[in-house]
Amino acid sequence: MAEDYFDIDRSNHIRTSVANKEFYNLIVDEKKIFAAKHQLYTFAIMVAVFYGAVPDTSTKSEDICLVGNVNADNLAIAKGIVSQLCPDIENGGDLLKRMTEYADAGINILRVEYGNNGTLRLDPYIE
Amino acid sequence: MIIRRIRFDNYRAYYGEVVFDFPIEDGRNVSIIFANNDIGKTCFFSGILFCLYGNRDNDNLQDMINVNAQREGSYQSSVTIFAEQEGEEISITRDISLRGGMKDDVSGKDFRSTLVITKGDVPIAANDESEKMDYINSIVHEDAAQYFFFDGEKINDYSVADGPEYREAIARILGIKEVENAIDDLKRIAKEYEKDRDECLKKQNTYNDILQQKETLESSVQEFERLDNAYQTEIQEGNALIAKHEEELKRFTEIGEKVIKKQELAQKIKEQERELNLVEVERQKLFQKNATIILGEILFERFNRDRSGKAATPYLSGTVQRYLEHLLAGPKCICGEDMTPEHSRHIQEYIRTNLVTDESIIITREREALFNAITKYLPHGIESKNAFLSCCETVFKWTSEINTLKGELLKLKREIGSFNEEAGEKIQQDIQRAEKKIKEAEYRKAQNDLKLYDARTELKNLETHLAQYSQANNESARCQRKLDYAQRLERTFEDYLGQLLEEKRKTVEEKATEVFMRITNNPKKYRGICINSDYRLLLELTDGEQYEIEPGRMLNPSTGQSKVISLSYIAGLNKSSNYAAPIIIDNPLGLFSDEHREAITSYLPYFGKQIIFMVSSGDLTDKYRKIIEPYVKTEYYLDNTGDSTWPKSTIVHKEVY
Repeated sequence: MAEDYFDIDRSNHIRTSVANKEFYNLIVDEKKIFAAKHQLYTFAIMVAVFYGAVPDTSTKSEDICLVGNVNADNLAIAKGIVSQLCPDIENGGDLLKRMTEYADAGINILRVEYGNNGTLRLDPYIE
Repeated sequence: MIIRRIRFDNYRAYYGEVVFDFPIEDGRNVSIIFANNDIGKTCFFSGILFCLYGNRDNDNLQDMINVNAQREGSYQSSVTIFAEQEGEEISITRDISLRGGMKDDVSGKDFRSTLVITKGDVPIAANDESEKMDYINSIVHEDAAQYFFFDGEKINDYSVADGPEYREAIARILGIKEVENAIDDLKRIAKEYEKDRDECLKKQNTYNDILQQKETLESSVQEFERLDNAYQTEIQEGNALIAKHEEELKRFTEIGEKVIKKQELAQKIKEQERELNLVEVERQKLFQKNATIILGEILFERFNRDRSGKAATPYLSGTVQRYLEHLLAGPKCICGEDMTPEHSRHIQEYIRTNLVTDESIIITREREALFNAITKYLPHGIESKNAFLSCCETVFKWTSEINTLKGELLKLKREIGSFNEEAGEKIQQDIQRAEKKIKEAEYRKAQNDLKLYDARTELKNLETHLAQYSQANNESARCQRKLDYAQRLERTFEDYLGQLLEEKRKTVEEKATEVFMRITNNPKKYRGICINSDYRLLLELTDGEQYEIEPGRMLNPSTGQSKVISLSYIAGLNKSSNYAAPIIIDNPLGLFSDEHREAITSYLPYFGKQIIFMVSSGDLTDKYRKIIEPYVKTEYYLDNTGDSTWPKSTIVHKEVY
């Protein structure tokens, strides 16, 4: 049956590091650049993959949101990209862990971008 | 209402009892009160407003009693209007008297004012002040009074009133306020049903968290709305202050032209920034909603490029493995040659390297399926990417244009600012300070707007959830149904209000234009007065161009023309009104040029069914008197009969035609 192996439990929590949580709060709650934290989460995954960043395995103790609350389309795209990039992953739990590591790696890139430009932009990624 | 008589008793300038009769007959509907300055023209006007609507908050009641009368020990004053209202005789009396007994030292707070209304000699609601006020408001509502009783010297303000002020006026005077009140009532009813439903849900003890969250959000929304209004007021006041200062600057002719250009440029920048802001909001929305999809589409294409040309990794299933092992036991290899130890070693090596379990195959297939599933988002990703790029292009183009305009504006500001005149410099500094304050308020407002939007959205979502949860219980479902009905009804009324306002707006526009074209001294230049959908007043020129009359705008018509517009607007509203009341004007010809005076004097008899106006002999000279004479029924001449500092105004002569 398709997608059994890479299914991710909707009740799983997506977490990040303390420092990155502050960045989520800044970008979403304060600056309103994204309307929801999950939008930044999936975007950060894409950014990390775009730049070929190494997944950030640091401790993740801060909740961002539930998997079930992430936009289904964005989640499907992130799953498709990360699972393709990481053939060693063989189940949904590991896939979520790796996606979250990529997200934190992406946040590190976006933090620098925000520091330089005062905002987040999409145009640099569009060829 | 037709006013038959007004009686003043020791009211302000009027000493003792002063009675004015206002008969009208066919063709003669005008009464004129002649008085020089400080004799009682404005007192007559304010006396009518006091009688109908009471004293304003900052009025000192003692000051309304004639000073000479007070010195003679009389601390009572009153104004009475005797009128005919819908075929019945009515009287409205408002008096001022001392609370309690006489004291040695009295002050304003020792006085009180009482209202007595009789209808056919029977008092109306003697003890119910609000009912009495309701009755007066049903004749001419206090909010609409300024369109029946007005000061001719101050009517210029009407032509530069803000759009919402027009809307309010139109709503009130044309009876639309009643529909608005109905909507307010429905909102209140809906709120009560919502409260009932929430009470039911609370009893179920399951949704308390959500209800608590809703309560918190409602207070946040209220607070954000309050802040929003405060910031809006701050911005409006700032703009009015700048307009006032810029008017003052116009006096310095050297920089007059530059100020005009600066105002035009600032306006253009404001409009372009508004447009730019819309595109930026659009771009931001695209970014928020589609950033992942757009980037996902780019990565998908990149991964696909990298994969192309590479052969898919071969794998060996159990079935093929069994077939190969079967071959090993046979004499011939699959290549057709005899099965040698070398062949056998190759085949075993192949099996060892490529054999995968069934689970691995499924995982690999699932991974491929996950990746290929992205293809369904590709068209949307490409479309969003193009829309985003198009927004970026527009933002870039407009930002450059705005920057160019800002450069020009800065240059002009420098030139205006360097104007070497002390007074001019001070005004400039005041303008700069006001501009800074506006900018700060705008920033705070923008931040607050975002929070308000979020809170409202969240509240709406919660409300949707609560509506769903309420279906689990009969009682709460019943409350929800009531709430739905009330809200549906409210929306119906709102639609109706929109249509009604639009119809009335057009009527006022037509009637105001009719009057304007009759009294303007420049009918060749103007086609009429328009009120746009935001209720802003526009002037339409004969070439079809329309421009907005804004406070302090250089392109505005002259002061005289603005007063003509105001008068036309008042007449337009008046003629479209559901109220029937006399028109009472303090100094209708004040500050008008000669040609306008002539046109306005000719028009005055047509303003309404009964016209009473106060004027000085100097303003209504023989030339204009001749024009209005055929329409005049009564003339009063007032004078000060006292010889002390304070007036003892009374009627010294009366003429009835």
